[in-house]
Amino acid sequence: MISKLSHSSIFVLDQESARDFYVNKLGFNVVMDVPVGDKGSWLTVRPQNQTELEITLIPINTGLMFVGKIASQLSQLVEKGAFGFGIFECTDIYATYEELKKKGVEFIKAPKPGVSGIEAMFKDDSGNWFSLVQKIKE
Amino acid sequence: MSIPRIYVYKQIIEAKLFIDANFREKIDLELIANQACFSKFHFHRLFKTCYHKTPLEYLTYLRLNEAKTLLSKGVSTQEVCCSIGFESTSSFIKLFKKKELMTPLEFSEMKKNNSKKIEQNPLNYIPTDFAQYLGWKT
Repeated sequence: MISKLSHSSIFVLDQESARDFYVNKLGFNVVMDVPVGDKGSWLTVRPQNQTELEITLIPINTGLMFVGKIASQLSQLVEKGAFGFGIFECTDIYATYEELKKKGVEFIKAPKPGVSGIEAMFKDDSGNWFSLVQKIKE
Repeated sequence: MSIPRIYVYKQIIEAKLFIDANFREKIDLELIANQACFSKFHFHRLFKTCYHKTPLEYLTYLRLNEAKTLLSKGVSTQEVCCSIGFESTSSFIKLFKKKELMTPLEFSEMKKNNSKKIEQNPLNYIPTDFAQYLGWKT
């Protein structure tokens, strides 16, 4: 029986730029930062109040995962916004929306009531998109 | 007539961004509340509604986070204390121990040992399959 998801990966175009985005714009904490020579780092982050789950920021550059044209194809797809990697929750979506916009985060959709609560959408610095949701208490 | 909600958000967000930018200084939360044109009590309540932390809890959170970053880099307890706006070293040590269940010095030593181990064998800290797929391990 699978008991939990401990890591989830996001493909990023530039790991240092992604670190800046997730830490300084979204306000996430770095959980693991393990440099592996000149090949990049095993870099995981997570929201301030989250425990357990780590988001791994995987640079699209080297390794078996990206042989041949895969790296350039994947980069193009990420840049074009082909991937939506998840839903982030917040306690006050209007405040979070205004704050992130002020920090330069690009929103694809402003907050609007939806099926999960009040929903918005934003992109990271690579082009991956996420939903941002404030659940409404029933 | 009540103040429009968006105006309230903007004031609270400005206050939060001010804390983000100035938490290393000896900032006065009462002054921030005044600048945001709220009474101390009203500011406290609105901030907590938006961020689920009181302004003081948030300020303490940022300072301790920064302290942990600096201690991880080998900065001394006294220097850390001065760098994050704490009035006295003893109150910083007391608070740090309460939150982290160890003294700043113990934390610093622990991080130093961990960093040494990571530097010696980085691949021991990366899930094997990922290390292989990323081309970091054969």
